Amino acid sequence: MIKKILIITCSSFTAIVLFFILFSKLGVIIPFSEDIALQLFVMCLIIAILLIIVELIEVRLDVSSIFADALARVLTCYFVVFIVGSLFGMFPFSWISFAYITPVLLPGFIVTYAISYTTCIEHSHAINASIKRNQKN
Amino acid sequence: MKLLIEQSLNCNETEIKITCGLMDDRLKRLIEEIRLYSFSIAAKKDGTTINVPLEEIYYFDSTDNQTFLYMDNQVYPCNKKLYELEVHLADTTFMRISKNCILNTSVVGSVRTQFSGRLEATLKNGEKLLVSKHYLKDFRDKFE
Repeated sequence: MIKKILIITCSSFTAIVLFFILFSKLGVIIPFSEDIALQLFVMCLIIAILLIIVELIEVRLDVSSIFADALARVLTCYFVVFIVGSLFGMFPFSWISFAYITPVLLPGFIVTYAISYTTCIEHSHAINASIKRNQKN
Repeated sequence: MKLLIEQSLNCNETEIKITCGLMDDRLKRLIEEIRLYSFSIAAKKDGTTINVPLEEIYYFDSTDNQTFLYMDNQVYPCNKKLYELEVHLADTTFMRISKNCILNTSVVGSVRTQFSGRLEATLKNGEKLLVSKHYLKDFRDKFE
């Protein structure tokens, strides 16, 4: 579980930092700094932990809808970024902050999801290869 | 590995004894297979109780507090709860894949990743079952 949390944290942190720098260069959001790097890492870590908890809840409730799963994940990301970002003073505690959050959060979420999906595809290929091997034996 | 088979007409019960040093993955798999062919599960058919050999069972599914045993093309109610079966079937090819289902991994024909990150397992009879994300690692380990 710790390994999974670290993988989600590191991949999402990399994606978020890259998008943050891109959008700050374009002047859409505030300039990137060392403090912001640390704050983003804390956000990514909290999101990774909460996503694991969401996953456990989904298993318990037997949620099989892709839409419900994706919605729960996006809402978790928004909730953490909004609360932690407001606490660190990255943006004001108001609805207007969503305009700052969305350009970085959504592409970052999609990239992290894509990395996770690619890893799952590799795993399924490995399982299929193992099944074929066992059938031959 | 040495294989000794002693056949005698005086033997009433077949006994398998494994003598080994360190237990490796191949030996563990062999033991899983032996367990699979050694046990059976009681199920109800037309009001009577029948014993279904484990290797013929595809999966167990629980709906409305009733457990059902699924075979290639037959379904029978089963008296045991999923958590009881989980204990009973430990160290066999069976494993929990979701809240409601225990699957015999030896009947999986192929798997496919869904966009949600879950795995869709296609069984040898063409049926499809979903493996929850929570059980993915254990599921992968069964095939390593």
